[in-house]
Amino acid sequence: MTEAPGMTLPAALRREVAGWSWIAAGSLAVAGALALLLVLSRVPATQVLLPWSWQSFFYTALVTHVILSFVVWFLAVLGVLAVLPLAGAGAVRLAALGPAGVWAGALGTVLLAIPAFLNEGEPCLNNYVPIVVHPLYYLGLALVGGGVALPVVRLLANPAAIRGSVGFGVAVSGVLYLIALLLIAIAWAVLPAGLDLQTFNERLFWGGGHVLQFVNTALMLTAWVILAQTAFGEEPVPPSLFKLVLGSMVVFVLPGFAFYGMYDILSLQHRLAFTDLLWYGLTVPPVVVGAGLVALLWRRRAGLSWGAAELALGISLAVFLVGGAMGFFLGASDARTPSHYHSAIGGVNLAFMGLFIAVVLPALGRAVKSRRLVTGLFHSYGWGQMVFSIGMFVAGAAGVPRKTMGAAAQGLDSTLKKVAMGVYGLGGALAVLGGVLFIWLMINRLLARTETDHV
Amino acid sequence: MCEHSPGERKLLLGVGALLALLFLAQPAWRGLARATEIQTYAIAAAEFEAKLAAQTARYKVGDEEGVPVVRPPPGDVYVAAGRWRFLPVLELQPHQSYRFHVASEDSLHGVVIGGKEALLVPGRAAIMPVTTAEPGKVSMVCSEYCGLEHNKMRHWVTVIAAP
Repeated sequence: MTEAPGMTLPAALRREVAGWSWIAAGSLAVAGALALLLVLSRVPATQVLLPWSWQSFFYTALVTHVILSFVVWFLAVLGVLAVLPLAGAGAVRLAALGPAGVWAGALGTVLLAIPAFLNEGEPCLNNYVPIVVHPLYYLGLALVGGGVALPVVRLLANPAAIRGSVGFGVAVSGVLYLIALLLIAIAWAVLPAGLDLQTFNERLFWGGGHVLQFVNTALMLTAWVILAQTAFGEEPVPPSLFKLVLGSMVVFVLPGFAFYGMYDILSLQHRLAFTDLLWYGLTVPPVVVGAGLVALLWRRRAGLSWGAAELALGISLAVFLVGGAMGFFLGASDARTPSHYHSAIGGVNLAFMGLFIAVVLPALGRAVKSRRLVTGLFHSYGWGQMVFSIGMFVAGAAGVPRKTMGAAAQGLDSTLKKVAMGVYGLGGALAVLGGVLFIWLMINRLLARTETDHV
Repeated sequence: MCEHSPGERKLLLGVGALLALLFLAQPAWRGLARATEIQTYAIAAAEFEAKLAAQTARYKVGDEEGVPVVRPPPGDVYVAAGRWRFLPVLELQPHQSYRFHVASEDSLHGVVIGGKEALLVPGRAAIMPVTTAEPGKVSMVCSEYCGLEHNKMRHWVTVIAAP
C-alpha cells in the first residue's frame, strides 16, 4: 500500500477488515458496558440491583474492562492494519491465515468477557495484561494472541506488501508483536513453579508487556503516516527516516531476550531492564515523526480544513506528546504514573479513531456522513483526555496515590489536590462522551448498508 | 539503492547516531548498578519475626489502629512488609542515621524509601540506609505489584521533633 486515500479492497480482504473492525468496536463496547457496571457496583443504591456480589465482581470486571479496552482494541487495530497493505500487492500468499485470524480473534474476545459476566475466576491486576484466573479467560487470551499473529505472519510472507512506509510500519509492528509473544513464552518457561499467582502473572507479562507498548507506538506512528497521506497526500518524514526510526524499535527490544539470561526473572534488575527499554528505545521515534508532523501541519496551515484525518492527527499528536513529556517526571506509586499512560494511550487512541473514521470505514463503503459528529468526537475525546491527564498529574505531584478511590484513601487534604481531582473528573467526563460517540458511530456504520459494492 | 539528498543523508546519520548512542547507553549493559547497591541477607521468617517482636517490646510507645507505634534509637530498625501494609508505625529522631532491615512476610514486594528501592524476596532482608532530616513525614511504598490492594501499601515514617 503506498497511498491510503481511495483504497480499493478486494472482497475477501474487505471481509477481514470488517471482521477486525467489529472486534475493535465490540471490545470497546463491552469494555464500556463493564465500566458502567463498575460504577453501579460502587454506588450503594445500585449495587444491590446487580445479580452478583459487587465486592467480587468489581475486580473481575475491572480486569476484563482493561483487557478489552487496552489490549484487544489495540490488537484489533494491528489485525486491520495487517490486512490493508495487501490491498495492492496482487496474489496473496498464505491467504487462509487472514480469515482464520479473524475467527480466532472474535471467539477469543467473547471468551475473555465470559468469566466477568459469570462472576467467576480470581482477578489479578498485574501490569499490561491483567488476568482473570479462569480457563475460558486463558483460552480467550491465547485465541486473541494467536489470532492476531496469523495475519501478521501472512503479511510478512508477502514482501511486496511491505515496501512502502505504511507496509514497513505495519511489518515492524507485527515483528514487535511476535517478539512480545516470544518473550511471554520464555517467561512462562523460566518462571519457577509454586509462585503466588499475582507475582506469577506480573512477571509473566512484564517483558512482553513492555514490548507491546513498542507495538502500540509503532502502530500509532504508522497510523499518523496513513492519516497524513489521507489528509495531505504527503508523509510527515521522508520514508527512509521513518524506516530508520521504526526499524530501530525492533533493534531496541532484541536485548529483551538477553535479559532473561542476564537477570533472574524475579529480580529488580529484570524489572528495571525492561522499564529502561521504554526510556531508551521509545523516545526518539515519536519525537522524530511527531516533529515531522508538526512541520507538515505548519506548512499546510493555510489550507487546513480540519476534516477527520487532520483533526485526528493534530489532537493525537498534542495529547501523545503531553503524555510522553509527563513520563519524564514520574514519582513512585502516585497518580503521575496513570496520568502519563492515560495521555500517551489517549494519543494512540485518537490516531486509531482517526484511522477508522477517515480510512477504514470509507474503505468498507461505510463512511461517517456527519462532519459535526466527527468533529465533536475528536474534540471531546482528545481535549477531555488531555484535561483529565493534566488534572491527574497535578494531583499526583501533590501526593495523591494511584489506583485509590475516595477522599480518605486519596488523602485529599489540600485545595490543590481537590481542584486537581475536580479537573480530572471534568476531563474524564468529556473523554467518556467522546469514547461513547466513537463506539456508537463505529457500530452504527458497521451495521449500515454499504454505499457501493466496490469502494 | 535509494538516492538521498545531502540534507536527508545528514538527518539519517544524525538520528542513526543518536539511536546507536541510546542503545549502547542502556543501564542493562552495566548490570543496573542502582539495583545492586542495596545489600540483602538471608534470614528465616521466624528469626526476623523475633527481631521485630523484640524491637516492639523494647521501643513501643503506643498503638495506631491496632498497629504498634515504635520509637527505636538510631541504628538498626526492623520493618515487615506483608499484604498490604508495612509494620510497625515508626517514629524517628531528626538528623540521625538508621539502617532499615526490611523483609517480606508473604510474597514478592518492593520498597522505596528515601529515593532508594529494593525488591523484597521472602527469606531475605534488604538493608536500606535512611538518614532523617527535619521533623515531618517520609513515605515508604511498595514498588512491586503484589496483589489487588497493592496500591494501598503506602506507609509513612514520622520524623518527630527532638525531645
